[in-house]
This record gives sequence, structure tokens and C-alpha cells, in this order.
Amino acid sequence: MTWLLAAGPGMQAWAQVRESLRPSQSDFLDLKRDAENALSKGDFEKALALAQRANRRMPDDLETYSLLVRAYLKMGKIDQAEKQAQWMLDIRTEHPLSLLRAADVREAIGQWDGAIALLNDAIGRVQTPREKAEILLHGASIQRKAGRLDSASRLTEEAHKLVPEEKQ
Amino acid sequence: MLASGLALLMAMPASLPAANHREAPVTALDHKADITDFYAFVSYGADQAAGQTPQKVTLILCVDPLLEPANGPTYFPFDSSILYEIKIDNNHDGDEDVVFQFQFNTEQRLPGLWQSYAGIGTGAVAPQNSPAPVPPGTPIVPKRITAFEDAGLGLRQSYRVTMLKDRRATPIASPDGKPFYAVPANVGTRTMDYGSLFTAGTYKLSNGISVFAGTVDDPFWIDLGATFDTANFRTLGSGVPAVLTDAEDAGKQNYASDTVSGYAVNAIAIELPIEMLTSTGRVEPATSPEATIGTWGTTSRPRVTVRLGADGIMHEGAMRQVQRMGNPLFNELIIGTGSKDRFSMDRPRNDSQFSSFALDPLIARVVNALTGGVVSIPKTPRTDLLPLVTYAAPIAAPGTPPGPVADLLRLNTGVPATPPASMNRLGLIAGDAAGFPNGRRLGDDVVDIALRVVVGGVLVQGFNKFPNNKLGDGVNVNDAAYRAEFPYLANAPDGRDRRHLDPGEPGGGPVQ
Repeated sequence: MTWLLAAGPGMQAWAQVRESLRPSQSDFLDLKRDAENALSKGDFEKALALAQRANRRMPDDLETYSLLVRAYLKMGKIDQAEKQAQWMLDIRTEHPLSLLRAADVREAIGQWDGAIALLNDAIGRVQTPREKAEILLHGASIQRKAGRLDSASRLTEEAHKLVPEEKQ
Repeated sequence: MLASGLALLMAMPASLPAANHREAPVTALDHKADITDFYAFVSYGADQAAGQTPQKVTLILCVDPLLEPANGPTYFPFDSSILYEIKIDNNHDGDEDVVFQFQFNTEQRLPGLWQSYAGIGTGAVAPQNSPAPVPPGTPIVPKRITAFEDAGLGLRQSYRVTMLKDRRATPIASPDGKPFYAVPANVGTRTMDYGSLFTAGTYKLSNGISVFAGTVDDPFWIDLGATFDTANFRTLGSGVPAVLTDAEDAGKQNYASDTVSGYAVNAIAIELPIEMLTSTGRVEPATSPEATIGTWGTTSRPRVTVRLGADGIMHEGAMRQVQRMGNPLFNELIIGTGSKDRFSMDRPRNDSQFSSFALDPLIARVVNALTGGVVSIPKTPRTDLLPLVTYAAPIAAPGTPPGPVADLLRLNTGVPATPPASMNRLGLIAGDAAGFPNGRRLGDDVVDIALRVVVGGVLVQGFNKFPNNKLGDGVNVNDAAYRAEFPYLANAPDGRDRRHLDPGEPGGGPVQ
């Protein structure tokens, strides 16, 4: 039977169920934290593998998809990144994380204005000055790529006004 | 500062994509797109005789759960931005071959009124002491609503039905070109004659198709509170929670609270000649593999696409599926919470990814544990559940390709409808061949069937015994009587006089 082949023997099925139902979420959170660390260290293959494991544990977790998108983009796998980003938009259309990752993909394929539009949407949905500043700086980066240097400068300035203590 | 920053971000060329063209985001929170139940069965009549060759199939999609009938002022219109679809797989590959789409249009005909509906008798006019500038005799309240054209029907919804088949879209319309109207909530007897609207809103077309959409009594029944209080079912005559006595099992009454009683739901129903649904275009005998179809319902909303079109705007017409439903209780009681969105939004043909949930359903282990082993459960893998997720006996005829694992409500269209008086709430497991899981009728007690099949494993040799074969929540019937003809649904509860039967009150069963 197709599904038996897909799922393996019964004990394997039970193992999957048991893993997904483990009361402690610490290992799941560990997986995501380790993936984040791997991303920051430039070990994108490891980050992807960890994020994929986390995704199997909890297929509905948005942060895990965000990690997948970022890892795929770093590896230059735009199509896979787009697929995951589209899923994020599908399951949580208005969540800032979905908008930001979709913006990343648009940026990667050179759709500068489309990326800015999504950042514009996202900035109204985040809470803290730091989050807003990060989005503004992201926007500034895209404006620079688009050759709009004046806009990039103004966005950078606005970001620093939001978090003046971090101005370099 | 922020406003300034936003303004800077927005200082861009004029060809901005419409990034704000989106609707409610979260599947789990999207109440309007939430599918409550899906039904598919061979149509029957009040005078149905046993063994009659099936002619038509009725498909019903219910959405928008637990509508409190008194909850004005705008009540519960269908969402015009949702695409409601009923899908049929007739070649056993888990993909849709025939689709019926329903899309609604909303008119606000009384925009100055504070509520959606108003009416009384022949109408009410300003009395003699009416202050200026409204002179006596000026019409104030419209006459009682009895027809869709009446002025008091402030919120009026019409809908379009389209059939997709063989890559062609065919409108299903009334011969006179008049729109189909959706039956509104049952506000109360002063305001409207709900029954007349229900009758007028049941469209029987000359091509053998019938359609209906509207707010109706929720046809489902369940002790919902007990179910989700970690299977805290009530202790009835047997002295064991969730285990019925023979008398309770046979009773056509409720021994526990029907939590859904007195609530309404929005329903879409369509009745179709079987020839329109089978791959052969014929009514097939039950012994034919082509007789069995897979059915399910979906809700979808416009999608925001990551990639913009060449013209810098989103792809028009792209939709994202919000939810789907084939078998009852599958997503609710089988799929883990960390996978429910993925399940809701994926296609049935991809359901092998959820096999582990079905091969070893946790709900069975929970009941096994909670009863201290009194309810024993079968070993895994639970291949006895295959008929729910593949084309297999006893629903499908020998020789039917099993197809991929897919949560479809499978219906052998060749099995004659059971006369109403002979229908058994326990459907196929009680020998009523036209009942769930061979399709699903309104009166099939899917909660008790699921408890016995999924938890009790009564399809496994040695498990069809007490107490496994007496598992039940104690709610055996719906609180309102169904119709005996299309669309079979019962009238929505009256908003003014609705009643929910709670535990501890007459008809509501015990608190414990």
C-alpha cells in the first residue's frame, strides 16, 4: 500500500507520532536556535538541515519557514526559497515575518519596488522601534541597489532616529 | 518619526503592486472560511423504497461554525471574497475531476438601517404624533419579509454556481436568468417568514440540478465540550464514561448535551444527476469500480504572490486554499495541532505525509489510557482504517484502484439510498450500506462511528465487542428535524426564541 510504504512499519509511525507529541518543546527550540547560529556563522548547509528537521517536527511553525527561506537564499536556491516564502504568505498572509521573507525573495530576483512594498506593509505590523529600524535599514539597502541613493540615506537616518543609541 | 520613515519608503515609482489586497490571514482564525462539515450521499425522498436505483447525489458544504442565531445586527452573510468549492475525484487519483464553485455577491439595500433585516406584518407607518419633519403615515418599517424582493431584506446575497469539468467552466444558472439568492439568518417571526424564504431559496433546475445556500440549523450534533475536555465524556447508564448501554445505543434521543443545539451554520448544497459525477457519465452499479467517487469541500481566498508579474502587479485570480474537508473529524481528531494548517491547505493527494497520524491515531491511545485499559485498542499500524483514506472495500467495489492516501469522503454512488425510516445512525458499521463511511448523510452519527472504528477498532477481528462497540458520546440525534428532500437541512433556529440545550437541563443530559 502506498501509505505504508510512505510511513514505514508501525513502530516507525508511532515513533513519529511520539516525537511530534513530546511535551517538552526545548529540543524543537534548540533546533531553531542552532539553525539560526549556523546561519550567522555562514554554515548554510547545516542551517538548512536543522531547519528541515524543525519543520518535520512542527510543519505549521512560521519561524521555521523563515529559517528555510533565509538558508535557501544564502545558498542561491531561489526557487526553493520562493516556494517556502509563498507558503508563509499562504498560511499567515499578514504576519510581518511572511512579508519580510517574501521581500527577501523579491529582492533576490531584483524586484526592488515589490520588495519595498512588502517592507512597507511589514513595518506597520511590527511593534518595537528596533524592529522598525531593521526594516528601514533593509529598505535602505534595497534603495541603494536600485540606485536611489537619496532615499537610502533618508531611510538610514530615520532608522537611526528610532534607535539612536545604536548609531555608529 | 515613523510616519516620516513610512513616507520615505513609499517614495517610489507609481507602479506599486497592490500588497494590501489580502484578506483574513490565519487559517485557524478565519471563521468565515472555516469548514464545519461536509456531506455526500445518494439523494432520497420521504417515500423512498428500498433498493431503488440511485439517480442523484447531494453534496453539502457547511461553513462558519456555531452561529448564535440572535447575534445581530448584521448576522452571518457568506464572505464574498471566499471561493467555496465542492470537488469530486472520479478516477481515483486523489485529484479533482469535477468542481462546483460558489461565489457570493452582497447587496446592502438599507444602508441607513442599523440592522440587516427589518419587517412587521404589513408594515408600520409614522403615527399621528410623529414629530416633524416626518409626517404621519410615512412608511417607517417595511412589511414582514416573505420573499427575496421584499424591502426589509436589507442585506441580500446572491450567488453564482460554476461547474469545472474537462477544462471547461460551465455556469449553472436558472433558465430565466434570475439570480440564486442565499437564505438569510432566521431573525425571528416578526421580521420574516424564514420558511418561505427557505422554500424560495431552494432552486430546482430543469436539468435535474438543485442548488441551495443559506443560514440553516447546524446539522451536526456532538457533546463538544466533553470531547475537547480531553475526552471527558459523561457517565451514563453503563457506569463507564463514553460507553452506552444497549438501550442508550438504540435510543433515538439524546442522553448528553448536544453542544451544537440551537446554533446555526452557513450551508451550500447541490444535488446532481449521478451521470455528471462518474468518469463514465453513467449511473454505475455498486459492483463497478467506476461507481465510487471521492468528494471534499474547500474554501479559498485571494493569494498574495511572492513573485510579481512582468507588469509589476500580483497575478490576478491566484487563490490560496484556507481549508478543506473530506472525512468528518479527520483534521479535528487525527491531525496534530502542529500540522493542522499544513493539512488544511494542502491537496488530498499529498496526504501520505500525514500517514503516521492515521496509522497510529493518538485519540485511540488517549481513550485507552483514560479508561485504564477498559477500552482496549488494536495494534498498529491500523490498516483497518484504510477505507477512510483509500478506495477500498467495503465502500469501493473489488477492482477499484486504491489510489493515493487521501482524505476524501468516498461514496459508492451505486448503493441505493436507505429509506428514511430504516436509516441507522451508525451507518455502514450497523449494516446500513448507504451510511458513513460510505458517504455521509446528515443523520449519520459520525462521532460514535469514529469512536467505535478509530478508537475501538471494531473493524479489527476481536475488537467488535463490548465496550468497544458501545462507545458513544450519548448524543444520538440532531436537535432539529431534517427535511426528507433536497436540501435536507433543517430551518435555522429563530434568533428571538432560540434555545441551547445545556447539561443539567431537560434534554441536555447530566452534568457529570
